[in-house]
Amino acid sequence: MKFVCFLLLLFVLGCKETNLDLNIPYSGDKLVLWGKLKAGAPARIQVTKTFNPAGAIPLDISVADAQVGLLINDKEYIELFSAPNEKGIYISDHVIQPGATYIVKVSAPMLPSAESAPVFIPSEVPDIKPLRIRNVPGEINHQTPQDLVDLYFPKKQTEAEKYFTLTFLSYYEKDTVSANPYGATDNIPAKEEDCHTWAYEKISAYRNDVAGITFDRFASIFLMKSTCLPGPNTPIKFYIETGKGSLDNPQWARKVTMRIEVVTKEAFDYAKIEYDQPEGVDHLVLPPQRALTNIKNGYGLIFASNEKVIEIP
Amino acid sequence: MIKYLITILLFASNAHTVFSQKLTINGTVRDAANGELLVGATVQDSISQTVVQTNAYGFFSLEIPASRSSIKISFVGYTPQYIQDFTKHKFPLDIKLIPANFLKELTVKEVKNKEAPVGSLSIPMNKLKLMPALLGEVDVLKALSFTPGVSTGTEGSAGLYIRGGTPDQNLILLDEVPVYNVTHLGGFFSVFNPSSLKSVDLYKGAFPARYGGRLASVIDLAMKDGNNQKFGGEVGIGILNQNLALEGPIVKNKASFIVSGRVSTLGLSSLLRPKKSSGYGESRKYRFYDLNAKLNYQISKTDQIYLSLYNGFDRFMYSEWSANDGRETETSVGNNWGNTTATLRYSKIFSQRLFARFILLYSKYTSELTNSFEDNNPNTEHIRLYRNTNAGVADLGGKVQFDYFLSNRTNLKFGLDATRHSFSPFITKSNYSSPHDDTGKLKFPATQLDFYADASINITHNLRFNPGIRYSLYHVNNRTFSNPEPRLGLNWSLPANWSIKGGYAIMNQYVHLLTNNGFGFGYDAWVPSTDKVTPSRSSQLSIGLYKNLPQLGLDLSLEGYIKRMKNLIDYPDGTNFSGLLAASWDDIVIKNGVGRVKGIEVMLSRKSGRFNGWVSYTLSKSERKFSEINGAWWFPMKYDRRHLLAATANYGIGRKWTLSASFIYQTGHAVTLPEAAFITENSNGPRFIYDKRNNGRMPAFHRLDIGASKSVVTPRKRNAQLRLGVYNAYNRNNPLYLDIKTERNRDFVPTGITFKQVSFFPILPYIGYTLKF
Repeated sequence: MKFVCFLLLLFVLGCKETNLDLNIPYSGDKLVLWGKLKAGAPARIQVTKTFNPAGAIPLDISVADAQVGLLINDKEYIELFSAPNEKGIYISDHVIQPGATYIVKVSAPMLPSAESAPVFIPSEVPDIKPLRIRNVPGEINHQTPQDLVDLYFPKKQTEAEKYFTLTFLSYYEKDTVSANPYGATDNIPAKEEDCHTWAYEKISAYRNDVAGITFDRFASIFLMKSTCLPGPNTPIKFYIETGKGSLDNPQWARKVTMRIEVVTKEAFDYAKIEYDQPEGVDHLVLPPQRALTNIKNGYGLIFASNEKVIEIP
Repeated sequence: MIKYLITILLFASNAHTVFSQKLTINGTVRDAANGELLVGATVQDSISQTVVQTNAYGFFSLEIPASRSSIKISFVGYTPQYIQDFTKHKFPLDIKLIPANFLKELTVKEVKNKEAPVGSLSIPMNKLKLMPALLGEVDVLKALSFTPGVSTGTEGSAGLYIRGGTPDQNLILLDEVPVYNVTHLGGFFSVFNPSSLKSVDLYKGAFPARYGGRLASVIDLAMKDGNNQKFGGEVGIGILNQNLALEGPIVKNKASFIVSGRVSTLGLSSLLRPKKSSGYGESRKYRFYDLNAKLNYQISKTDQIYLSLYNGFDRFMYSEWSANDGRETETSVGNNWGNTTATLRYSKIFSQRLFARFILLYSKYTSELTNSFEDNNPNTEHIRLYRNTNAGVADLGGKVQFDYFLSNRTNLKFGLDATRHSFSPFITKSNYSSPHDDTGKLKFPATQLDFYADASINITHNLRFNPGIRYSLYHVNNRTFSNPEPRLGLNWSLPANWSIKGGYAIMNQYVHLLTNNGFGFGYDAWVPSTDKVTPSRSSQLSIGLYKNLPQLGLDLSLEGYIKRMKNLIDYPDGTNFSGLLAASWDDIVIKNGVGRVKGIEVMLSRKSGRFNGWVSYTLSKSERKFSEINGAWWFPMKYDRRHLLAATANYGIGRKWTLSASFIYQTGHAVTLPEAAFITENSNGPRFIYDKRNNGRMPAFHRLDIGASKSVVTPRKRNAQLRLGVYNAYNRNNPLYLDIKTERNRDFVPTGITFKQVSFFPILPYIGYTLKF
């Protein structure tokens, strides 16, 4: 046994990292546009620029002297202005209109001008009928107090493919939350590789007084394609954590909410690439990802969304 | 074309017999000490100097002048035998050669001589056992990586990249049955136990027509038959595994057996560790084993049957457990993979000229991800929940081959192979009630039928011509693919021991491997060609120049080749085949890729003598093109290595010690480097922009291994061998993979990006001991 331990130690010591000096074919700075056009909210776009992927990251990559505009339905043009306290952020009082199409156009000195592909703002959010069954035994690897939530989509999703996100939050006393749902075994969109993906989103921050550090609090987001949804009488099912502490005497959540959001395809594709998926095996080495972009002559993504939040009784 | 072939065959076979009285002799050649059939032994007529070689079953047929001939039977490492006055002998002859030196390894096999097709070679098993190896584990496949045209992937991996192909393009046969997964321990070494093997042949250029189904190479491994003279065996103690081999006669001179097995040291150590009775914790268990067994029975001088079995498995399990007040719970995830193969063969000598073999074969590969939860509560019912996802393939088939020796100038091999494949990629079994866990829905049956004929025609004493044809039919999902595969070989012996060889081969591949990229445990799935993913196809032209220097015992070869491939598949960037892929794999993969490979290979070898070994050098280029990758421009294959230099040498000191050393140098493998980076408020760190596939190179890979072995005679007069050595003698940090690291300041803000090479194996000593009895 000692010999095996010695061998394992040898492997650990032998697993070494060495800096490499590789010849990187950097092609020069380009604009990077980033923003979510959220129906009913003011426009907000971040403008930065690319940099050489090897070596020190420039201290300031924001582009503060850009001209940023929104072309709405190919007719109206609105210019955004620099946010007073956020360098590289451009805002407007204009409220994003559901059902409209936007193009973001940006130019800046010494950088090639860039513009986004046309982005359509989803016009409506589907109705969902939730049914909550409390305190059910969970599945493998999820031995915490939890509820099963059945979601019915009463209206048959027969139109063109849409992308939905679902975010469940369980609120406890002192405003702590748990936000890590998972799909039941017979949740068809959650089982099909091509139908769903998981993402994480920062929802709040909290301070740990003992450690003296502020931590970000993240929620799991489930994204799915409308074409993968079952018929109106068949629910899709999620387990959500609604109790903390021991299984015998848990502290139950006082409120459970669900946000349903309709997003553009780019948001779904981005999440699929960006986030580790809870299913399956993470591989140590994957071929590199091509950066997903809908920006012409530049990089970044402009998404769109329309959302509503309901309380699950 | 066929008309010309028939004319040439008839002329070649009859010209001699028309003008003179001839006698056809035949027989088998064996090792006198253990009864093993000798493959590739030469039988030479003293008058005409005509030479023939024994086939894979030790059989030969030779036409001699009836009255006055004698024949010489010889094989490297054995005392030659002469036979004359054939009126005293009954046919077939049963010739037994006596090993020249009993202290050496008995089954010495010559590296393929000028009879072998271009682009083929054999590794003598006795030389292989002396090569220094990672942790002392001698490995057949890794030894092949020291030969020209063969490179490895990442360090430690046993997957071979042969002449610009990928590991799934290698057909690996163990006693004629394909083995789908050939690695233990996540790829660190192969499943083939050297103590059970008789021979290893590699074909990478002019493939004989009897082989088909893969694009890059054929690795044909034959298991030992077992000693039919006396009982014996060997016990081996090593760092990674322990092995035991037993062999002996069942009926002396008639029937024998061999059984050999290996178990992992890591597995044994985890069995010895007691589980705590209370508390909580986690455990990791890994173990593997493999078992080879073979029986053979010589029914008569003309009939023999063989039964070969192989079973090997790797199991990795990670679990979290708790035990409290009599209640025990355990959550486990695991990965298991392995093969089972079986071959039943019957060989028959029908006449002086006709030899046949009939084969039934079975091969099964499974790879499984497991997930389970167990709750053992004395107060409630025992709960066990599980979900297992399995990817596998099972083959059941038969082969018939006839060797017909028309004359000394011409012989024919023809036959057919029929295989029923059953592919089961990503099948989930669970005791959860779920309509989606349909265990039978995703099975793909496929049927393959291949006909072939291979001729060897000596047009003149120095010029031999090997035309062949293989015709394959593959039926899957109501679709039948059919492809002719012409083969051509040419051997031309020149004065002063020079020779020239050439070959052309078309190959088709009807299976594809969806694999974890790079490095990891083996959750790999074999899938058949479909309507969307049509069979891959390659054509290869090879030419070689050879020189033999018998005084120095040296062989020199120079080979060049060009190869074209089409209908290749690749993965979109970032694809993760993690088990939820189900039936949609053929929509996800990128199809209709083409490949082009060219290379020059040089090898200088010395097979015998106190100082022996070989040096090989390969200059090659392997590229791929897909319409959806790299803007439809050619890009280098990931393991395209421009230069590959390998050397291995053994030097005997006295009768006891042998020193060995191996050195390998490979150009660094290709990597895709980002061409720019950016950060947004949502990204929590830099994101990279990639444009061209495989646009960079990792540093070169090179390593020196040194070893020594000592032959020992124990107090009980048993032979033993002590092996010790050092892997990676100068502690080179060889690249395993590229890691891009983001440096951050105290506020966790990204400040810099560095490219790092991750290396795994430092200088590693090894020791091993084998006792023969």
